[in-house]
Amino acid sequence: MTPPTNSSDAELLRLALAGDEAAFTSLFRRRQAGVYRFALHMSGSEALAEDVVQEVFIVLIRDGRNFDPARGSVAAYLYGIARNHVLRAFERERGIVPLAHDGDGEEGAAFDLVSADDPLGELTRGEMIEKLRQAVLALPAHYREVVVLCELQELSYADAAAALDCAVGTVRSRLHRARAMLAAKLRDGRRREEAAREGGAAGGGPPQALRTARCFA
Amino acid sequence: MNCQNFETVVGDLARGVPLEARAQTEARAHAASCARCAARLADESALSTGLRALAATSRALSAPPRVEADLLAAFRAASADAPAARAESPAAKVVPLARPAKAWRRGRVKSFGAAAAAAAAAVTLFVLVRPPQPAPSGHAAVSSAPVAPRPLAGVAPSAPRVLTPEAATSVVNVAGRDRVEESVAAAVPRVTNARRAAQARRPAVYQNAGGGAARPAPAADARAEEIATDFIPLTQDARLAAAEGAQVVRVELPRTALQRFGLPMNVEQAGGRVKADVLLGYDGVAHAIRFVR
Repeated sequence: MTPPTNSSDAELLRLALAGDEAAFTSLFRRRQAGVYRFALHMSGSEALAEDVVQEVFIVLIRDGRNFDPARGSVAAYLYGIARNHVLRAFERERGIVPLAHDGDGEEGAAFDLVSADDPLGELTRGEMIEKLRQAVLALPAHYREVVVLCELQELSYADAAAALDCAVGTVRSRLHRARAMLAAKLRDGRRREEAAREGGAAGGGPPQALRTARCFA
Repeated sequence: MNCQNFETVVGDLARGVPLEARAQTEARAHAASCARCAARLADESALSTGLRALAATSRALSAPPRVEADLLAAFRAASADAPAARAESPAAKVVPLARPAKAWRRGRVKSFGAAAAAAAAAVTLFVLVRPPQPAPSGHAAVSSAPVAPRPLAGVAPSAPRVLTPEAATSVVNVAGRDRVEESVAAAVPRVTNARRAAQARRPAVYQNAGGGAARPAPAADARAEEIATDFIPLTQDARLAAAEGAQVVRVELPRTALQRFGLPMNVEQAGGRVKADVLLGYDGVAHAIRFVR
């Protein structure tokens, strides 16, 4: 029997645990992408993200009865499992982390994403988004996870707190701090680019390499 | 509102989180009168714009279809068991998918490649800087004077031996940490049900020694037949590094490196290269090395 498409996650989970394959499939298709993107944004690794999705739903099949709706939504429960697997993977592989290419002074992130009045700016938009992605990856894990959950996955503070097993206030404060770190990185990158442009215009030093389409303007 | 109060709401203001009307009005008024806070709001707003764009670009990403297929197989297998058995011991339900274990490492090829390159560079530098070591007695073919390399404490001394996966684990697991053990054991391909199909499509590039192009990892059988020396410490902290979760990285070095460690070298093949495993510490320093044939 195919469950109604508007069934809640909790209902789908209940049916799945009773052996309803269609319910499990519906729940998987509804939630797997979010879990995948969470793991991907946390790790930068598609292979790890794929494994995390598998692990999360294996745990759901095996231990789904442990889900307690009083503690949060099914989505938060799944993100919590995913987070544990990601952190465990980091712990196993901490010799290989970091995954991000942190700014090295020459390629600092400069997120000037306002391009409405600057057509050439649109050309660099994709590059800047990539730099922002790298900046998120470079955050410490406990800051990165709140950015990913609250900003990229658009979870509520309450759901993020349930996923992270912490207080809502903790989520808010970590997100505030994480955003400040990202904003500082943004600002520094912008200043570096401005300084580079000014240096190039003055012509006092060696010629600057053209790094973005905007330099051609 | 002062700057301190503004700081507490600037993130929500930039994100468009609903604030009390009065707080929002006061915050905007403060930003209009304070250049520093105006700049802070501009930064936060640009960040919010960027994060929304990032979220939008990744919105279409999801796990590949094979994951669903594997999970459905697992679900069916789990459901095939009697409900009574499930009620009796839910945690004991057999799920036929193996744990993904190390498969995700393939996604870190770049990082690992960089680590391997760093290890190779570190070892090469060490080899070049290190004064020639006398050769151990019994290795008559070595041109240097004989002094045996000192293996890591706790590891059986110097006779080369066939390196099975188990032996490899025991060698590196001197300090008893799983991470090190797994790092070495990972050299033996372990494939989960979910990953087999993917592995057929994607070359395993865990081994990317010497900074060369990525190449498929050797088969388990080939690994099992390798002969390796004991680990030779390069630093005083070799054991500590092993305990702290060092990685074993396969590199290739000039064959003359053997001489630097007092090991025998066939002079007719002096121009060739030799494989080595480097114990690369958490700090990126090469702490120990063993040579592999």
